[in-house]
Amino acid sequence: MSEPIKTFAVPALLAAGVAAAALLLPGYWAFKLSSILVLALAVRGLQLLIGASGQISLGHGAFFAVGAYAAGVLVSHQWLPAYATVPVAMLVCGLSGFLFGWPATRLAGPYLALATFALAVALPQLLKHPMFESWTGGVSGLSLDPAGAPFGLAFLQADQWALLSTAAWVFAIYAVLRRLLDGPAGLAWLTLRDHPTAAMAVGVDVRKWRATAFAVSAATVGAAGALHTGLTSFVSPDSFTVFLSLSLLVGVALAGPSSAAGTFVAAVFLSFVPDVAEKVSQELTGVLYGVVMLAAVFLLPLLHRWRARAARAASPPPAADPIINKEKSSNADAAQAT
Amino acid sequence: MTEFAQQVAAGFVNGCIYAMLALALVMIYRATNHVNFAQGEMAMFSTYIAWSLLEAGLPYWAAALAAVAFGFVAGTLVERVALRPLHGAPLLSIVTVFVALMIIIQSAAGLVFGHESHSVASPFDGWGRWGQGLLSGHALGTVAVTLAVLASMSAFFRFTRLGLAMRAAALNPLSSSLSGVNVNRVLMIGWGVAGAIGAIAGLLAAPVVFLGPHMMGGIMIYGFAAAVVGGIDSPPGAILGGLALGIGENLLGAYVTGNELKLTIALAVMFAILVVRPRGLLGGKAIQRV
Repeated sequence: MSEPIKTFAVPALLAAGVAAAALLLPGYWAFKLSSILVLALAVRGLQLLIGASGQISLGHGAFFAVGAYAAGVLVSHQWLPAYATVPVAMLVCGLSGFLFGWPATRLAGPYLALATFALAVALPQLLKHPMFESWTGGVSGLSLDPAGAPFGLAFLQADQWALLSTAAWVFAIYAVLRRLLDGPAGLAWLTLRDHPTAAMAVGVDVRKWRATAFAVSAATVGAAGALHTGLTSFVSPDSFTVFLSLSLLVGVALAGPSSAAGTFVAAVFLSFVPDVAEKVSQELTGVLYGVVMLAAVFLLPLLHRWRARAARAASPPPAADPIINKEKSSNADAAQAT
Repeated sequence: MTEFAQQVAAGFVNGCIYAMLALALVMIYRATNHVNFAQGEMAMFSTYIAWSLLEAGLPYWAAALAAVAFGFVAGTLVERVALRPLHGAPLLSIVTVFVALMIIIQSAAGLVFGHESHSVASPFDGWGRWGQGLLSGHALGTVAVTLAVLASMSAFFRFTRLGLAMRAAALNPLSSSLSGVNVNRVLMIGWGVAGAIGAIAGLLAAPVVFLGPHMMGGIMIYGFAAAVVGGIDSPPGAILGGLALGIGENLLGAYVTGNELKLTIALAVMFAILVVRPRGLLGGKAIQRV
């Protein structure tokens, strides 16, 4: 696909598709589609942290919760309408992500996973604590008035308006993230993911960029949280258990380390599998999630190897592995950029 | 004063359970340099095995022995089936596999054994109460078992051929295999021992927290925190960390923060230690060759 088509035609088509969907779909499916978009955004946020900067978080549900609560507080005090809370939620989550990520940059691999896991387990307790009850509503959470379409668009139903505004935010944030990943930030992240020592040697400030990746990823997940509040008009501490964080990780395992399209596939999976599985048994969701994660680790590499072998068989002169070349060139670019 | 002593005593007993789980984590970390996120769930499943044998009418010690044996076999199987193929794989794959195991085992326990919590009898109830009624028989038994496990672990790593081989294999797999250590077998046994210790911890915890698929959630966070506080490569450190956290948690809960923030305390302590002194109180300094 040529470059201008990719930059203009694909988004235009997507926008047209969503607009058509918003006008045609009945309420439930508009809601379902919006929640898929929200999940995709959250998976995208965690994917950026894991895939681009090479840090593992088992606790990104916590940032989802912070975003959701930020939106909830803003709407319940009638300071902002639901669809306008996203920037504030992103700011709050970006800041808290940075504050968590800055000391956490000292933690290598499993320790970071441990610390974030503890964060995910502890946060619902913190949200329920009486100390914050005037803001968070304590155990019962916050129930908000459902948001209707603003003046001038009143012909839309609430679900249709929610789908349109959610889709607009999601695509805007995807576009910004794409720009970030293609720019110097993305190169810095890739270098420090591939080889932290080498990254330091070529002048990438490892600590700064790791914390920045944490902040950007937390802000993205927080935006998803705020959109979730706008959709459901309800926040409660028990919606943000550790299982949410682990589902996001399942999503990243499914979507792969860098594919933006993959996050939508993962979101469809995460959104429909629990519905189907719980008809059989409450526990089946967990088993399926676990199996998918195992498959992503054990089977996908086999699949890639098999495809590479098939490609080699099809074209006898052995072509250089494009992935390695790409990585080499991105490393070289990073060296030049810094 | 008596209330204070009671809090300390109760914290001490909880601390023993945390310390046991931390010991199992340390065991796996020393053998493989991995943190086993599924440790708590493996312990929970072993405890269910003991419970179903007890329900079937077996005497307690036979059931407990079977559960510990099950823990050992499960540990070796996890190593052989799930982790050995990932030798040299990136950390992300390994963490993903541990998390997958955690979710699968928890859901499987719910599928097989159901959701109701069960109470499990303690084998030490016949011991009566000790220390002016501060310590129940179960508490005393917990302490005794923890000390026994610690002593045998320390002796194992210091004096036995297998223990030394295990340390060597963790430190430098290549050169230890060149000097005749069967690294794969050693790793499998290390995982098995960790599974067995986890099963003991589960058996000790079950009379206190009730048996259920989610019984290990909170306990495991404290186990992680204990291992981190004590230094994740040090068995005495795990015990120290476990006891410190158990007692500290109870005292803070009773006098300062209230019971709602227990997990938050574990998180804060773990984070503070990781930032200020990443190798923990008794951990050795890790030096990495670039």
